[in-house]
Amino acid sequence: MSDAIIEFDRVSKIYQSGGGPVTALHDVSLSIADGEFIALIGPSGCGKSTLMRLVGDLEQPSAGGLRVRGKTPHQARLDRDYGIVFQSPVLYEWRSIRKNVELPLEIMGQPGPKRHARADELLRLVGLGDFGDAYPHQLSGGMQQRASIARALSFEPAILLMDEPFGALDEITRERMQLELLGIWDGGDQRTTVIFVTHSIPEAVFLADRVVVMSPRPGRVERVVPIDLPRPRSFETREDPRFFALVTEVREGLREH
Amino acid sequence: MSSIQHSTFKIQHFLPPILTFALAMAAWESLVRGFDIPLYLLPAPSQVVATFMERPVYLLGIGLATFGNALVGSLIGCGLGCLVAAACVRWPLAADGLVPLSVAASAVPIIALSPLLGIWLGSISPASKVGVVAIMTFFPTLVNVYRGLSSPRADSLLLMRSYAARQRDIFLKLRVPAALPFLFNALRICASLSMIGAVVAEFFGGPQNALGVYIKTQAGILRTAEAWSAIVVACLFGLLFYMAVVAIERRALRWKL
Amino acid sequence: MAEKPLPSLQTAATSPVPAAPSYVSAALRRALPVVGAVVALLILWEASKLAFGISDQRLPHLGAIVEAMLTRTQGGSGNILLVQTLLNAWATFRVALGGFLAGGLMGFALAAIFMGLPILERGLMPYVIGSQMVPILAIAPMVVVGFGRMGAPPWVAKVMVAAYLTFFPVTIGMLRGLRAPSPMSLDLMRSYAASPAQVFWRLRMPTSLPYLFTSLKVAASASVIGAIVAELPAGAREGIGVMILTSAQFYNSRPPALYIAILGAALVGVVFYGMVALAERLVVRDRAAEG
Repeated sequence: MSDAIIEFDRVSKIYQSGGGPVTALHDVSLSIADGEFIALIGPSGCGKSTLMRLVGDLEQPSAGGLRVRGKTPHQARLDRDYGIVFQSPVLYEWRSIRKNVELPLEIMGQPGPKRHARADELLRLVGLGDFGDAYPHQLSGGMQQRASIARALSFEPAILLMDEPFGALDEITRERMQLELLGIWDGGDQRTTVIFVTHSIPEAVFLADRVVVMSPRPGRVERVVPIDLPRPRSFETREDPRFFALVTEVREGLREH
Repeated sequence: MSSIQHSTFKIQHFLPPILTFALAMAAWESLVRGFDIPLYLLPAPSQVVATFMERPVYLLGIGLATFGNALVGSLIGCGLGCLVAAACVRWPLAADGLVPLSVAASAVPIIALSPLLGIWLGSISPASKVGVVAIMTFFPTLVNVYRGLSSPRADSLLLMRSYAARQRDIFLKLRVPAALPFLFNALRICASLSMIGAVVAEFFGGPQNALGVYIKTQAGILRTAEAWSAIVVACLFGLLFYMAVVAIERRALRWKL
Repeated sequence: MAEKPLPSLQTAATSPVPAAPSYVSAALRRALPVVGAVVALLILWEASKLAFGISDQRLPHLGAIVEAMLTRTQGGSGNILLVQTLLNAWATFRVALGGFLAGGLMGFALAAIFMGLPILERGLMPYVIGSQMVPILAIAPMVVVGFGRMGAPPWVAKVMVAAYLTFFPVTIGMLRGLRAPSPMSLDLMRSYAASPAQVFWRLRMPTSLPYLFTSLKVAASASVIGAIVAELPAGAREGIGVMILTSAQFYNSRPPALYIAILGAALVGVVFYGMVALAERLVVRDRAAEG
């Protein structure tokens, strides 16, 4: 698999806890192609967030091999190969929205005027063009999460890790944000590879190229469902019978274990 | 947030305390006059003001000297507190030892150290008063700032990790801004603590021209109005100190508004 | 200096069986660095004497201090100094406790009244806040001398100073705590048609406890300082404040005595604070005690 950007090879993750070792991930093998949109879905405790965090070198596997762009996750992190979006926006409250988006650029040593322009460009992209000078607490939850996405995209990482980014939003905002995310993802000249963790079945099906269905205790990959819905996807996609069929297929996969 | 709104807010903010102050003064005055309270017990505000007007320059002068001790002492105490707090973040083992000890030290009546510092640094010299204030302000600053520096949540730190940020960046761009509200909280405590601390330290002996010495001698010979006029000066300087801290805080923590 | 391992990893490694042993080892692990810091301070004490040649007159040996603790006072006929110090500490402690209880009760009562009658709060709260404009510590000498003049027993003025320092934080903290219940939990009480007294005792009081203890801890330290400062004016006979003054006066003939008096003052402060912190742990179980 030469075009794989992320390669899991029999990866396991075991936590030590008060009640003895807990296997969060067991023997996971998965390869993700460059430019692919992958959704990880499963009930709480299935290790989907852990899987994503292993890619980000925020945690280390207990066994097995994991390559990110042909490198160790550690090296990939040092090379700033990925941007991350958490469930909560994690904006620094003392920085204006623009300065928040600039944060990674600042740390990577970009000069001021350049990152300023870049931040404004991204804020326009996520529909926050007028809010650069606002502080996080002045924005709604959805707007804060948009800023957080802009921040993750600001340094054009090859990989985007998203850990239930819309989980705290209401259903209506959520569906709008899904469309916007796809718009941004489709819009560029080169598609970023996305790993998107969620526990919403329609969200996973609507967004992804492939949905990875996981099951808990121990966390493992239950099934991989390819989503053959045409792109660009739109509001109407959710009313397509094929959409419902795929939703049903994922749901069945979640029931299986 | 227009400037007009801002100024009305300010008037609303300041009016009640001013009214209260006037009311309290009137109540005090009528209490002393109505019940014929002997002068040695409690002078009326009018008597205090009259006594103050007899030698305002002298009183303000000794007030300034004592305030100088309070200011220098707080600068030393708060500065050292910040440094040690930063060291505690860097070396967690030091934090495990020092932070609980500092919490306990906040319960120790530091004022009891005054005579000892007098012996070490000279009871007449201002250095011993500065020392008392420095020790007094050191512990609350250490505890508060340490809490502030360790206040960033796991996600905020993971974000920095995802950028492969250097320790220096994590400290300057995350921990320090996050600690600022805590620091100002400590500074407010220190501002109100330090002036009283400097005065009380002088109860144990000090130079002739110092507020605490003056209050103690005048009270000892039952010249209560004289003592009270000196106390008013102490209040004045303490209040100014506190207000200066609040004003700086408003500027520094603009993002909170 | 090794990096601190994650607590969860550590408990699993050292105690396969949970429950009591892990508590003990956790407590030990927390106490050890503190003990280490104290030992380091004591070593620093003796080392600085050695390194900088500080005379015994300025900084006595630790051994000399312990020795002085065990010497008899009043030229050999009285208690040993340690017992004498503890007696004085106890006197100060009583004053602080008296003031703490009186001030605490008053603060509690004020908060409850303000809670029930907002009109009174609007009228009286400014005076409560205004009362703190008076630096009681600075006027403590006058309070003590004044009350002495009026013929009140000496403890009255001291207790008043301590109480004055206590009531304010308690009023403010308690009131904040009584107002802390969320609108939803108040609505729940309302849906049960609960009486105001029931809302107070079953919802507001329990919610306010963490706030109350936070201010009680502040008040505990304040009342001890108040008691000590109130002992400073001439004429007082017992208490740690008096001991500090006299041992400072006769420092040249016996340096260790001042150190012992200061230790006594620290003891009163820490024990008082510790008692409140312990009460907090017992009453507010589910909330980790901090600070």
